[in-house]
Amino acid sequence: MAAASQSPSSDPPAERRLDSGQAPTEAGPRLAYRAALARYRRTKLADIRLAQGMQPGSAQVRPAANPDEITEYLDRPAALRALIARLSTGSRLALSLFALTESTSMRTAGLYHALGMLGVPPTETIVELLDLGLLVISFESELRSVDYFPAAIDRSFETLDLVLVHPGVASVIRTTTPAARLPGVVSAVSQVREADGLEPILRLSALWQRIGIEPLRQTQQGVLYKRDRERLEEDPVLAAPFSDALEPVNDPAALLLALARRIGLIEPDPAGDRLLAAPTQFWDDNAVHLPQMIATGWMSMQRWQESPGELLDRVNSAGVRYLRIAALLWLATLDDSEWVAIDDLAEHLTNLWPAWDRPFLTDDSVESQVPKRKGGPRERSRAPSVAARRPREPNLLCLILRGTAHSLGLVREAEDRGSHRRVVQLTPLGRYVLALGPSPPPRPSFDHFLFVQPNFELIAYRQGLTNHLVGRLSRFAWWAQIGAALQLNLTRESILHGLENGETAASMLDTLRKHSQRPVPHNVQDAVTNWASRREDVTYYAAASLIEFNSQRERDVALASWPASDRPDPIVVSDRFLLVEDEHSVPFDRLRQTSSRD
Amino acid sequence: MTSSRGRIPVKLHKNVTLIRTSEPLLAEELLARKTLARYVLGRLSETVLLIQPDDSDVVIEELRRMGHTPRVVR
Repeated sequence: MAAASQSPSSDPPAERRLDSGQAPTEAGPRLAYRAALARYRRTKLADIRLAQGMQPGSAQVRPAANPDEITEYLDRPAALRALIARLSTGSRLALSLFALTESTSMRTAGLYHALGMLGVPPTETIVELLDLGLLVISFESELRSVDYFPAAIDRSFETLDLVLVHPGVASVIRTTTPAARLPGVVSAVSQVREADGLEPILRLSALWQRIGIEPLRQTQQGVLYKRDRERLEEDPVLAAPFSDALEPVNDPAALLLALARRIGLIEPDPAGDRLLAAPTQFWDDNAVHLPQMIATGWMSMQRWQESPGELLDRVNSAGVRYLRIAALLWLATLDDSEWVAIDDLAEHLTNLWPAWDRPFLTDDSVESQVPKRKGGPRERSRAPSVAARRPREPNLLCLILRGTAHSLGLVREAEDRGSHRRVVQLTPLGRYVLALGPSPPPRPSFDHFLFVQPNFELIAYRQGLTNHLVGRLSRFAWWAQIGAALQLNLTRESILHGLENGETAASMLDTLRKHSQRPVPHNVQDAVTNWASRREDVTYYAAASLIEFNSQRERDVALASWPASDRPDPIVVSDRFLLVEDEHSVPFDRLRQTSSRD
Repeated sequence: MTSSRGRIPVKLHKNVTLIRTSEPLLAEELLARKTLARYVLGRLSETVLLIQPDDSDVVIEELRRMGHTPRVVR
């Protein structure tokens, strides 16, 4: 998938597991796929190999080795392309869902739900993919072998188990959009409103700063400590309403935290009990792809959702994740000049899949769409029950499209000139994220977008900011206000943060001078220089090495012959001691270690 | 060179936690701070203090509270 494959897959494994329900993928998607295949009956594996094109009676069909054979066969892009070319539109659409969300697994019930919203017969589609081995059904606790797919889908549906896609599919599949046409499409609009897409990036940079200064503590279950959670919720920058969202964004701090984890901006430490800010290099490496990474993370996010209410232990059955991608794919059926009213889209979804807005995949209200047994093999009833025709939640689609998607820069809104209703369509970024359009043109920028004030406040115009500059400023200036106007503060701590992230006093002042509309006030220059210089007054070594010599003369000889390198030079501590920051810089070809103490 | 192979014999002390100041007066100031002094195990020189290794965050926070902006080498 063109766009989806361009950004690095930076979801932390733990987050992937928790947020997209990928429990079996700890050892990697390919191994998980292969392990799930190994739970199939041998005859079923042989059926898959035959369906993939193996000639009947071929000596190569070896039941005992079939999980490997199937996996290795699909490792070949040419073989995958040939299989995908044989697929129905619905099956290609199903594979698109995995690629667009950069997921290698989904809850069976979730995929079923998404396909229903996209107007595709879910069971037939999933079975077609299972028959070819492109999907594999995975049970965490199932002891029986998988032998009959419709029944396996039913069991998986009830237990919220997963379907896994062969990991090679993402690089081969192209985005498929729903085949039907949306009703009520209009073309004559006015008052177009489109966000610049900077809001989440600015807020994520503020979160990165906060966690850089003080990491978040979490329990072994991945839940934040109350104090740390409150620190985020009460932060005036992180918790403030999104300024450019057309609908309120639910729990902004929680959204930012979930997004930051998805894109790798914050990461758990090796022990797993703290969340740390990613190294500064993150901004240099990912600035270009950030909007796409954020959008992809949002589309597949389960830990946070648009509608208020605690997910608690029902995260894995949350249904909103599947509605986001389905709604965007329906918008993708529109031409560049076409728009649709959200009400019409909601009505369309209702006609296709009555319980499209259910909050949880396992809700009783959608039992009509859960497989029902009719004698032998299960079939899925498509007739909505009375419960399924309950009053719609009119706001959910608005919250998704006018709230988050608009603020992320994926959807824009206008007014229909005829009916004066609000209508929406995808932006170029939205089409790019769905791999349906080229990369959007870079934002027009101008260099001098900053006012550096004598009171150490920086006022920034959004129009001048780029993702790269957001990262650059975030190293040494503290975000104090994010909205239509942006304010950053220079403080001693923020300058220290900059120094610890590779800046120098000169580089920080250079950045300010380059982007300031007026000369940087002298007191600001002096303070930055002074704060930075004071840092060298005290140095804290958490784990340094001391080299102890027998005499001062030997110390001096060693110091004089110390090899030049890009590592810090040793520091004289006393007559017989040298301090080295990095033990690896000790030249043991010249020194003989007689003993070592740790 | 004192060794028969021409290499200088040394003892290596690894993973040592230290504070180094630019001036002796600053080290005196740190030692005079009770909340910090209790983490100081010894004074290796006029400008280098040996620190308990298990309380990094507390010590760094205390330094900041004193108005310093320490360079932290981890």
